[in-house]
Amino acid sequence: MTDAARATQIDVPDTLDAIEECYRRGWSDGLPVIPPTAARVTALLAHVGMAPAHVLGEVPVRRRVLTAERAAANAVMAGCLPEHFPVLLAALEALFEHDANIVHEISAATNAPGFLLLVNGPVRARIGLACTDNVLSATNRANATIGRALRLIFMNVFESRQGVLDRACMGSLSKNGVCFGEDEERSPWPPLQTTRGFTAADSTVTMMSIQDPEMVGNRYGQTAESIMDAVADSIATHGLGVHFTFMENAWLWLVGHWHAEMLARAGWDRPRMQRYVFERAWRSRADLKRLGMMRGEIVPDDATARVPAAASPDDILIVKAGGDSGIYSTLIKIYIGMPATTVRVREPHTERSAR
Amino acid sequence: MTQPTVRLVDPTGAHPGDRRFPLAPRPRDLRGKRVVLLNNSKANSEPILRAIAKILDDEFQLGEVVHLTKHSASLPPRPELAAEVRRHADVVITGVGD
Repeated sequence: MTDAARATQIDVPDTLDAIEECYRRGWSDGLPVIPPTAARVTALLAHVGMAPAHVLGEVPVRRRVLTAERAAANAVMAGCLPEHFPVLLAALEALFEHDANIVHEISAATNAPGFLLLVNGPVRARIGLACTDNVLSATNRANATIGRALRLIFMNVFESRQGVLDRACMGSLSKNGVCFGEDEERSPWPPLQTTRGFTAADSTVTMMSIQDPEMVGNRYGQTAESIMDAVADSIATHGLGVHFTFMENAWLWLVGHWHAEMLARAGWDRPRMQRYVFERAWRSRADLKRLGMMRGEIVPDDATARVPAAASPDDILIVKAGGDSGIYSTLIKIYIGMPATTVRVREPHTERSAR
Repeated sequence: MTQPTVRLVDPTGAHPGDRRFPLAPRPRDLRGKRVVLLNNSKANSEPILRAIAKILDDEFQLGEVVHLTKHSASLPPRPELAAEVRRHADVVITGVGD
């Protein structure tokens, strides 16, 4: 694995020229990058105690290896600080643990999925990750850079380049990576990671490939049922663009602050909400054929044949996030390539205390 | 005074050494050959593969033609399927039919 061992180094006269050099070499996603200097890359590696040539994973169908050094170089370019790096490494661990070849599935796909890193646990506060106001916007460094680092790794290491192995037709806003935290502090329900085999003290990343989010603006319903009906309706409609008919469909419902408050006041817990929405999120086979999502002529049975939008109630993930300035939720389709996969964030100080 | 220098770490990917994937030997003639039509699971894969197989069969009189389907259009065949392809095929025809 001689080629994989160490990255080559390039000398340029000054920092501004270094930014231009990154553009010239095609290392940027279009926005300026922080030049990946040897010192900055070393700082990220030192933070997690990894050797530069440490192999994080290999993507067989792309014949590409990701080393810690290259991951760090891309993270630096994205603007990550050393303390952001463990979150990125956790997302990569989830990806490689699931199936490294899904890199191809989620980046070559013509329907342009993006990816989402949902963070739980104490690491959110330590790195200043937004969980409330403007949660899906890139308004601060942690939210803006960690997902971007993953995108740059896809481009620069896994060759997901426009027109070559990135074959997105319309593209997507979430392609640059969406990273945020659950609003655990104001959530009426247990933190997501505690439903997926971890404790509330664990910091985790739940990594998934997604289609672009859509807002659910139920402002006047004022009842739990009205809110959940709106979410189910949005799922049933949203699915038309994104392979409704695939049976392994899954969804992430980001419950906005006041929706969560109303649901909790009426005593709804996660499993009941999941069942309620699951039972109402479907379309008739006739609808799907009429709207071109399914092949064939409409036959009489189609009108009464229900096609569920999710594989099971558990495939509707429910997370509290967002601010309290308005009455909204957001719905996100989890794209089939990378199902929601949760792994622990290995922060240096927690690793030390675990020993 | 010497010009200050910024040293950049190349962030681009490495390929995993020299493990080459040689192409299988090309058949000189398709007459009587066993053909696997490997459907990539896209909606139009089967019709296009059947059409191609018919054209080839009309011209070359193929041997056995076996239809197999991948579980995902964008992932490699699972090992069991790859083994089945090897068992049945002198020639494999595959492709995307979206």
